[in-house]
Amino acid sequence: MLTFFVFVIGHFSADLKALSQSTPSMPTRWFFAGLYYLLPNLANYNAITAAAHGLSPEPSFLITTILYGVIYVGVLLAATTLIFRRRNLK
Amino acid sequence: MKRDYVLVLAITAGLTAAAFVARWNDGHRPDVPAQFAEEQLYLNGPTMKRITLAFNGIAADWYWMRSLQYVGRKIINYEDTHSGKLRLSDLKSLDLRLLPALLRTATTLDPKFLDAYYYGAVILPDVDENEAIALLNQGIAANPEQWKLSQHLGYIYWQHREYQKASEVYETGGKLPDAPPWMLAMSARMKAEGGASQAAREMYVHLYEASDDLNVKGMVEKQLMRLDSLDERAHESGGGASQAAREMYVHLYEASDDLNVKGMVEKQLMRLDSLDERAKIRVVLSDYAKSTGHCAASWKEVAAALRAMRVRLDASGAPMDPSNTAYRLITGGCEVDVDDNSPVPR
Repeated sequence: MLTFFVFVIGHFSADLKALSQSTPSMPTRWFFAGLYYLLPNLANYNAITAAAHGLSPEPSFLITTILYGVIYVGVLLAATTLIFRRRNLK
Repeated sequence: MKRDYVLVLAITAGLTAAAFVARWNDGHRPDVPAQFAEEQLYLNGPTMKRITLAFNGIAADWYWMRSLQYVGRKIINYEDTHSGKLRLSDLKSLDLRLLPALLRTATTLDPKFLDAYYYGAVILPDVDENEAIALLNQGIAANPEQWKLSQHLGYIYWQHREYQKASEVYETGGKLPDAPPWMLAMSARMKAEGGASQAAREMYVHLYEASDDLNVKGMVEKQLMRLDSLDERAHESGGGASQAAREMYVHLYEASDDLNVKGMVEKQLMRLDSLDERAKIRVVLSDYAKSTGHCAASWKEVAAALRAMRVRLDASGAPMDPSNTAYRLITGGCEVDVDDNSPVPR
């Protein structure tokens, strides 16, 4: 279930950005923009339609997308270490 | 402890870097041409049902969310590129070509997904009427106890003047255990709208005899008197149709829990009120033109006559529509129209 919801959030994160741009309230705007950058943006990894039509992504876009993935995985590993290092899992 | 600080620092720095990279990516995302982005779904409902094994419900939720996001994005794009809010009458211009397939897939995965049917019943008629009818028929087949689905289907048939079909659907829905009595009354009303007054009369009499509810009996008596009145029969295509529309919308309003549907119905009722008001104003403008030989240059010239016709006026003497926005004089003062800024649909 958690994986499914991360998948859903990751693919709809662009809507958080649209929401932040369309709302007139500044605190709400900042909140949703922050959430957009905080949550994983999986839409960058979706190239199904483009690939079906023989369209390749730009090399620079591909590199930054991989870089984004590496950084995000690093952040998750650091957060996991922080949470679990004091827990006794024996 | 020191290691904790290092980890917190690493998380903060990592998230900041991820935000910068995401921002850069947003500006350099390759544009997929619009015709590719709007392609039909690769997998249909039955295939998805087999692929998702026991997770049909979750997959149905996924397609349901996609439907909402799809329409939401189109509305935001529309409002970004057009002035003012989207009107219901503009739904067609959104080009919601993927919506029927998305809703079909969601409801194939979960045939009991009532919200998807209700949503489709409101939005789809403006996109693809046949798809809306097919979706609701599918919903009725899977949920035969839900009279509201029959109500929505009857409404769609009524909008397209298919009174016989509307009557049949209202009758079928009206016979369900929880259905309110007015469903059968609407069935009779649809028969009358379609010209089958004798059949309507029989249905009203049957309804009168079968009901213990005094309100229903009173309503049926009125409808029978209406059928008896030859004068009103002569006006069936005018005022009678407007009255039928009003009843239809009031029932839709009362039966719905959805705020969007209620909002849509309120606007449709305002439109009916406005049509009645404009008919009165046209009479006044026409009389004025006949008596003076020219059309009214301003509302002030016909304010007294409008007041006599019980049309609501603002401080300047201009007649007001149901949203309290002044009507416009057009074609040199010979005609009336709703103001462009008014929320009342044309």
